[in-house]
Amino acid sequence: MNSTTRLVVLVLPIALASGCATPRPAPTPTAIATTPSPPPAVAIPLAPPSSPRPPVVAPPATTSDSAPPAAADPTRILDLGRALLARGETVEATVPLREALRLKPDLAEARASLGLALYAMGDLDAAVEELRGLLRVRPDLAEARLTLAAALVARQDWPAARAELETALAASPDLLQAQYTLGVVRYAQGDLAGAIEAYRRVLAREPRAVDARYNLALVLKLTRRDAEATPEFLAAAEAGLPRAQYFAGAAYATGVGVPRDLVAAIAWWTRAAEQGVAQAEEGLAQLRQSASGRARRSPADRQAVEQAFGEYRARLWNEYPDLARQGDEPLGAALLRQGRAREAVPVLIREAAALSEPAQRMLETLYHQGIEGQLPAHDARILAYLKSAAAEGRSRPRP
Amino acid sequence: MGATLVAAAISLFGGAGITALDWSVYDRWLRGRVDVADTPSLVIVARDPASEARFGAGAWDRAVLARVVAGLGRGGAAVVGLDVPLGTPSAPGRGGASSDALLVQAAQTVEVVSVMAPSAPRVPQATPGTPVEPMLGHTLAEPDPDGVVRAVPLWLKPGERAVPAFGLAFVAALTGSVPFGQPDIESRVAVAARGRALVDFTGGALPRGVNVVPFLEVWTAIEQGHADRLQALANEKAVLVLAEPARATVRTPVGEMSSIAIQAHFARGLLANSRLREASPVATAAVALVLAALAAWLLLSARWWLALVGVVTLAAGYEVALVFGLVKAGLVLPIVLPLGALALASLGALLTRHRASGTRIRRLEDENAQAREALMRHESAVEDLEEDLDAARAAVTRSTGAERDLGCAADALREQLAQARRQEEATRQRLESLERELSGLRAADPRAGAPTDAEQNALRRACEEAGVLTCDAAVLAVFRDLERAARSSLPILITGEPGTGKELFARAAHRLSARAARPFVAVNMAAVPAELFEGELFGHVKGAFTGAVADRRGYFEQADGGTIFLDEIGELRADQQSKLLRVLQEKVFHKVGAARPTRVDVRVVAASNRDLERGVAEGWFREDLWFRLKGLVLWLPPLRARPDDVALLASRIAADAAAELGRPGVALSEDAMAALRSHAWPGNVRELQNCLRQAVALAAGPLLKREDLRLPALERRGAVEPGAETGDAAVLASLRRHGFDMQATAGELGWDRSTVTQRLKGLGFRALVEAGGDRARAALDLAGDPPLARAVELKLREYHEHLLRSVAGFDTAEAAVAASRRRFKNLPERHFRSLESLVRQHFDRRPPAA
Repeated sequence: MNSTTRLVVLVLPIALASGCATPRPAPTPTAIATTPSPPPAVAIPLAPPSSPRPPVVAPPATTSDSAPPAAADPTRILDLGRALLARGETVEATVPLREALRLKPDLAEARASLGLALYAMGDLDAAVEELRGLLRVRPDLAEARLTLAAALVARQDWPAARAELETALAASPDLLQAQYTLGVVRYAQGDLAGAIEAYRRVLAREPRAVDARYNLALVLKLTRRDAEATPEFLAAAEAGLPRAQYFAGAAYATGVGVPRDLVAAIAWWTRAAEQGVAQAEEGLAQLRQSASGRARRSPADRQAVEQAFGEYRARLWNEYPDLARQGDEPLGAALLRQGRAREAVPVLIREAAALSEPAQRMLETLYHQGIEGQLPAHDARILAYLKSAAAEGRSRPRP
Repeated sequence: MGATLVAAAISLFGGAGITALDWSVYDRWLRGRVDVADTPSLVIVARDPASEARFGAGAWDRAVLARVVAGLGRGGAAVVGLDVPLGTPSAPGRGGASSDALLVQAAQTVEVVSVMAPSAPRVPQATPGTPVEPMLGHTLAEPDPDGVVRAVPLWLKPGERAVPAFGLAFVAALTGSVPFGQPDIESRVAVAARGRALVDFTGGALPRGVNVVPFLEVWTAIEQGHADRLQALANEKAVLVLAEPARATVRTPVGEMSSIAIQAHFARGLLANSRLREASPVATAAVALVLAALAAWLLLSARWWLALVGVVTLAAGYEVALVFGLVKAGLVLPIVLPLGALALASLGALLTRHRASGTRIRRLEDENAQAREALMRHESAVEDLEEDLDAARAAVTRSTGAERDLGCAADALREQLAQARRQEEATRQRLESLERELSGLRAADPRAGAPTDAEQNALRRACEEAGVLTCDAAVLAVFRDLERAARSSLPILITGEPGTGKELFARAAHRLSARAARPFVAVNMAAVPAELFEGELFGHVKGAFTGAVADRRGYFEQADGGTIFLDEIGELRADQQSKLLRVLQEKVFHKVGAARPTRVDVRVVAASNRDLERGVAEGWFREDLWFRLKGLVLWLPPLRARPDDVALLASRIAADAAAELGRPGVALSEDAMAALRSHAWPGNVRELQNCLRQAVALAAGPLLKREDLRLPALERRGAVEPGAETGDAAVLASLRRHGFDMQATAGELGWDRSTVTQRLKGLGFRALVEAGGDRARAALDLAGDPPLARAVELKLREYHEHLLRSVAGFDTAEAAVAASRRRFKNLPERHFRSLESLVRQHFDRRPPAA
C-alpha cells in the first residue's frame, strides 16, 4: 500500500478493516448533529479533512514555514507538501505541491496530493479539474478517482460522482469506500433499492462497517421495511452509534420489527440521550408524560409505562452485581454509601429521569450541599438535569 | 340562443382579458374583505428571517423538522401539516437518510399530512375514485387563463391512489372525516365543474384570522423542554408547519403566494365553513339564455326607449344579483357570459328592428307611390268621363234626332262615372290609411328627421314662451327652423294669411337671437304714408324740411344692433322697394337732409300675406329685393288647416277673456267647439280671438253655446274666390304643398275639386308648350321638386293623351281646335292658347293624308 492510498483513506469517514492496516474506532458521524451547523465544505458524511491522523510519510525534520529549497529535488518538495497536508495545513500544502509539479509536471503523486489538498480546502472545482486531468493520463489511480468522486459528491453532482465510483469499482471491486459512497450517491439520487444493494455489498465484505449498517437500516426504514431495518439498527446501536440507539429505542417503543418492549426502549433512549441525541431525550420525556398522566393515554397505558420505568431502574442494579440493595433505595444511593460519588451522579440522574422520586430528591440535595471531599455543590451535570426536569414540570427549580 | 352561444364561446375562449373581467367583482370582493372570523383550530408555524438566521437560508436539515413535528405531537396537536414531502431522499448536506428517517420516525408519533413529492405526475381528477392516499396532499394550483389562481383541483391521481388537495387532506385529518367519503367531502367543499373548488382567500400571503407562530419560537420551546408552552400552542389543533424556503409564487386575487400558502388559505376556508362556490355552467347558460331572450323580446316588441330602460334594468339587476349572491350566499356568478349574451341579443334585436322598420318604410313608400299613381289615373278617368258626359249632354241639346241613342250613351257614361268615382274613393281611402301608417312608422323610427315626442314637447314649450300656442306639427317644425336660423343674421321672410301670428314669430326670431338685448322695431309698411316713407324709416336732420325742428332717428337707426320687422312688405311701391333694397344691401342710408351716410347693423325680418314670388312673376315686386329678403322663408299654415289648434286656442282665449272681463268659470260647450273647428277662419287667430271675446262678453251664462259665437250660419269655405286674382302661381304653390293632391288643394283654397283640376290642366298645357312637348321637363317645371315630378308627369300624360284622343277623329287642325275648345270649355280662357298650340303641333307632326 503506497502513501497516496493511505492519504485518501484518511479523509474517509468509516473504518474499513480491509482498506487500512489498522482498524480505527468509529468516528462520530457529522450528520448526527441535532442542531444544524453551517454546511461543511465536504457535505457528505465524511470526516472533516482537518482531523486526519498524522501521516508517517513526511520527514519529521521539515517545518511548515520553511520555504522549499531553491534548486531542490521535486520528490523532496513533494514530501514537504504531503507533510503539511497531513497536518491539516491544506492551504500551505498547495504551495510546495504546485512547486513540485512545476519542476516535474508528470509527477502523478504530486498532482493527486494537490487534488486532495484542494478538495480539503473546499475548492471543489479546482480539485475536480486537477484530478480529472491526472486521471486522463493515469486512469489506473483508483485513489485519485475516489478523491474525485468525493469532490463530485460534495458538489452534489450525483451522476458524475456515480460514474466515477462505478469506474473505480469496475477496476477494483474491493474498494469498499467506493461502494459505500456509491450507496450515499444512489440514495441522494432517489434510488433507494440501489443504495440498499451498495450498503449490503460493503457489509458482505466487512460486517464491522457500522456506518454502512446504520445507513442500510435507515434506507430500509425509509422503504418501510422495518422488519429488516430493526435488526440492523440494533446491531449499529450495539456498536455504539447514538442515533442507531435512538432508532433502536424507537423500534422497541413502537414495536416495529421487534416485540414492543418499553424497558428496552427506555434503556436505548437513555443511552442515546446521554450522548446528546435530542430526539431520544424527547422520547423519554413523552414516556414520562404518559406515566404522569398528562398525556392522552388510557390508564392501562399509563400503568404500563410506569411499570417499565420501574423495571428499567431495577435492571440498573444488574450492572453492579456487587452492590446490595437496601429497601427501596436508588442505585445511586448505594453507590454514594460506598463513596463512589463520581459514578453515583450519572446513575442518580438516570434513575431520576426514570421517575425515581428518591433519586430526584437526592439530586436536589446533592446539588445544594455536595459531599464533602467527593463532590462540590452546584454540580453542572445535576443543574442541567434539574433544569430540564423543571421545564418538563417534574419539579420546581429552587433559586 | 345564438347570442348565448356566441357569448359562451367568448367567455370560454376569450383569453386572459375575458377571464379577468369575469372574475373582477369576485376578486375585488376578496381583496376588500375586512371582517374575517378567527379560525382558532388552525395554527401556522412559519419560517421567518430569525429562523433562517438560525438554520440557514436554503432547505433545512430534516432532523430539525423531525424534532418540531415530535414536539408538536407532544404538545397534543391533532394533526401536523408539513410542506416537506415525507419519505423522499434529501441531500446528504441536509442530513441525508439519517434525518429523513428521523422525520419518518417523528411522523409516527402524531398524525402528519405532508405534501406530495414534486416529482409525482400531476393529473387533476374530477372525482377521487378509490382508494385514497389520506396522509398526502397535493399542492397543484391551476391558474385561470388570466394567470390567476382562484381554485384548486380537489383530486390528483399520480398513481394507484388518488391524492386530495393538501388543504382538504389536512382538514379531513383534523375533523376525522378520513377516509374521504363522498358525502363528507360534498358537505364541506362546494365542488365545481372540472373537480375544482374555490379557495376562500383572506389577507395576504398567509390567511387572516389564523394564529401564525414563528418557527424559531416553537423550536426554542422544544429546546428548552417547555411542555406547557407547546401544549398551549398546539393542543387539539391542526398545526401547519411551513419550513421550506419560498419557492416560485403564483398570482392569486389577493397577491403573489406559494402554492402551499394557497392550500393554507384553502384549509382555513374549509375550517371556517366558507361556502364559496361557482355557479354551474348549465345554470349560467340558462340564466344567460333567459337574459338574452328577455332583452331580445323587449327590444323587438316594446317602444325603443322602454326597451332600452328594460335592457339596462336587466343588466343592472343581474349585477345586483351577482354582488348579493356573492356576499350573502358565497355564490360566484360569471359576468361575461350572461351580460355578453344580453348585449349581443340586444344588438341583434336592434339590428333586426332597424332593418325591419327600414324595409317596412320602403315598402309602404312604394305602395304609397303606386296608390298615388292609381289615384291620379282614377281622377283623370273621372274627369274624362265628366267631360264626355258634358259633351254628350251638349250633343243631346244639339241633335234631337239621335236623342235616344245618345240618352243611352249618357246613361252608360253615368254608370261608368259612378263606378270610376267609387274606385277613386276607395283608392283615396287606401292612400290615407297608407299615409297614416307611414307617418306612424316614421314617428317611431328614431332615424327619421321629424321631431320626436320629447322634441315636440320642448318645441311646444319654447313656442308658448314666444306667445305661440300650438300643437300642430307643421307650425312646430316652422318654429324649429326659426330657432335654428335665429342665431345667425340671416334675413327671415314670414308668409301666411293675416292673423296667423307672423309678428309673434318675428319677435321670437329676435328673442332667440344674440340681439335679444337690443331693440326690436316693428314697422307696418302699409301704414307708413308714402310721402313720409324716407323720414319714418331713415329719419331726418334738423332743418331738412319745413317743420324739421330737430334731428329725428328713423326706424332703422332705432333698430341698430337689433331687429327690424318689416310687416306687409308686399304693400311697398316700386320706388320704396328700391330705397329699402339699398339699405339692405349696403347697410348704409342717408337721413333726409343729411350729407353723410349713416351705417346700421340691423337684422331684417319681413312678413307678407301676399305671394311675393307671384309678385316677382307679375312684376309688382322687385326680384332683387325678393332675393335679399328670402334668407329663410317660413310659411305659417292657416288656422283652418289645424283644427286641433283651434280647440287649444279657443280654450285659452276664452279663459283669458273671461278673466279679463271678470267672469270666471266660462267654458265652451261641445257644440260650440265643433262649430269653431269647422269654421274656415279667414281672419285666422285674430278672427278667432275677436269671435270668442265677443262671445264671452255677450253670453248669457257661463257655458258658451254655438249661438253665442254668432258665426255665419252657412259659411262658404271658399274664402278665396277662384278668380283671376288668385293667380296660377298661388294655385301651383298650393298644389306643390299638397303633393298635387286635388282634394287637399281644393280644400285649402276652398274651391271645387274640378276647378283645381282645370287650373292644373291649363298650367300643364302651358308648361308642355313651353317645354316643347317634353312631358318630363314640363312636369319638373310644374312640380318644382324632383320627388313630385313623377306624379305630375303622370297627370300631364293623362291630360295630354286625353286631349289627343279627343281630337283623333278630325281631319283638319281647325276642326280639331274647335272641338277641343268645346270639349275643354271649363279651362280658363287664358290657357286656350296653349291648348290650341298643342293641337296644332299634333296635326303638324301627324303625317298628312292619313
